[in-house]
Amino acid sequence: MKRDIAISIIFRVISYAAFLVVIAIFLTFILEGFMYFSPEFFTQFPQMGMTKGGIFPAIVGSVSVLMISLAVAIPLGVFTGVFLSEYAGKGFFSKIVDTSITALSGVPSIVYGLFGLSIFCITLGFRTSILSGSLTLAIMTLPVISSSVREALQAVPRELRESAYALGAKKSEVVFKVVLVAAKERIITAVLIGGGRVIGETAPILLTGAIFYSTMMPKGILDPVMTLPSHIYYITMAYGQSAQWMAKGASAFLMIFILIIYSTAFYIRRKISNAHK
Amino acid sequence: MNKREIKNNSKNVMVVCVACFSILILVMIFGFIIKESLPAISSEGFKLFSGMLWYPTHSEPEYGLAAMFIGSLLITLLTAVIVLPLGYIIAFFMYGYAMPWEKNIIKSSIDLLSGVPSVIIGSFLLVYVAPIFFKLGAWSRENILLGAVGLTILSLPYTASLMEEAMSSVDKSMKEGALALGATKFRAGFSVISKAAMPGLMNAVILTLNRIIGETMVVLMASGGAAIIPMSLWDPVRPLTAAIASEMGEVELGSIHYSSLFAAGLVLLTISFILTLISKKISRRSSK
Repeated sequence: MKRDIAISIIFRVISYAAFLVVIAIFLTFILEGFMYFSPEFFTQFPQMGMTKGGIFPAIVGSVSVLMISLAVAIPLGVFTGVFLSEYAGKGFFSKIVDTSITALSGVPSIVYGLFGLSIFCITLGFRTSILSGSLTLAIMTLPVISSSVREALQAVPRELRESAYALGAKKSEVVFKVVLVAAKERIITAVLIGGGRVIGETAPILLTGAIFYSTMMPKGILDPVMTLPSHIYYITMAYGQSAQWMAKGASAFLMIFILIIYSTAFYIRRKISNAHK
Repeated sequence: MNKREIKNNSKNVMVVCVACFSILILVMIFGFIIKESLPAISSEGFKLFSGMLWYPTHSEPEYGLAAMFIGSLLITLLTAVIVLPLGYIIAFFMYGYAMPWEKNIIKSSIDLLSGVPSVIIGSFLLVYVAPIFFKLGAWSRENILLGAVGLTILSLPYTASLMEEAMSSVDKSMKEGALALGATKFRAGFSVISKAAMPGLMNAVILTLNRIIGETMVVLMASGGAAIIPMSLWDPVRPLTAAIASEMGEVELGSIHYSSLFAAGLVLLTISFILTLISKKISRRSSK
């Protein structure tokens, strides 16, 4: 018994220490970066070799990449999730779809980058552009969204489907007018988590859509773009001490942005699971 | 057929078509990566995968991926040695000892931490941790230990939550039975629950390894640029992912260098494909 208490104390200390360290790391980064926030920081271009100015083009770039990739990934992800939860049976085809989604979820992001480079930038001729980057990220998010949508739909009670069928509804009507609507909040959570991944992803965008530095706004979706993660990467790697403040500021902004997205997602999820209790 | 039936049928067809799309993507990923790596494979042959020398820009270029492959394995192994026991301890703590409120706090922070972009971790390591390591005796700002620390920070929340899920999914009666027989909490958790949760725990290990080996930004920023096999913790290392990300920007399209980077991608793709299939098999068997 004494040994058990000793172990419980040791485990508790280790767990607390690990989490405090990790959280302290991110708090330091956020707090230190927060000092550099100013109206100019969000509205100006980087100037004087990244020592002055702001991160405006990177924000615009990240938001446009996020919008386009979600516009592609949401319909694909939701439909695939619907298939996996509502249509898939025990057949060969369903099994293959299921395995493909699982396999896609494990593919490293850099391999998605290579794939996007090869198919969008070169074969389809989009070059290094917002479009190539967004499509690559959309494909990368597809397994994330579709497996969460599948879970969301499977959590909808069976009685709901059966009542709809009893009223004479057809399969697609049951799925799209009853089940999807009932799982609305969970699907929003799934999309938010997918969005959080898109905006923080760096490696694929380095290969397919990012530009080191640009003095102009991209004119269309076929222009390359600066994004927040790629901007942080380039500054950290290629600039001296006098530019590091911008990396810290941009990291803090990116983290706060992602924390807001994730807290919203998990807040919604928690609210539903409490409502079901 | 009336209008309603047409609508129903067309929607059903649409869902199936979109589902086909995911198969198509997987096939295309393999197709395109293989197609782009063929020139390197056919010109270098087996030497591409067994060669230790990676001098793609020399006048007499050498394209050997083996050193970088070993680099990937070493940094994965080093991280696994840190993160797997630590993740298990945290999972065990959450499962066996934590009060409900403690569990809630740890779970919420895990949820939030799972979204932290790896580029921020890389940036943090270079700005804050690298100078400390430098004082401790590192001769290079970027080294394998720094990379492993970053990968640990990145994967710890993921590993701990997967392992905790695996332990929680074991039937409660087993824990209660063990406790009723007089086992201590540690004994119940360690010998009874962990054994019953073994497939889930193995699954967590495999998914963690897959995540570490495919991670790019942390190793690109923190573990350095030399394609050598590291002999000490302070040596730099260049894993496959980092080589692809850093060299792809400067390479001439269609050259052997370009193609051999795709071959590196093919290696990563194959590893992740096998690991994910194994994990799927384990979790399917245990869910039956």
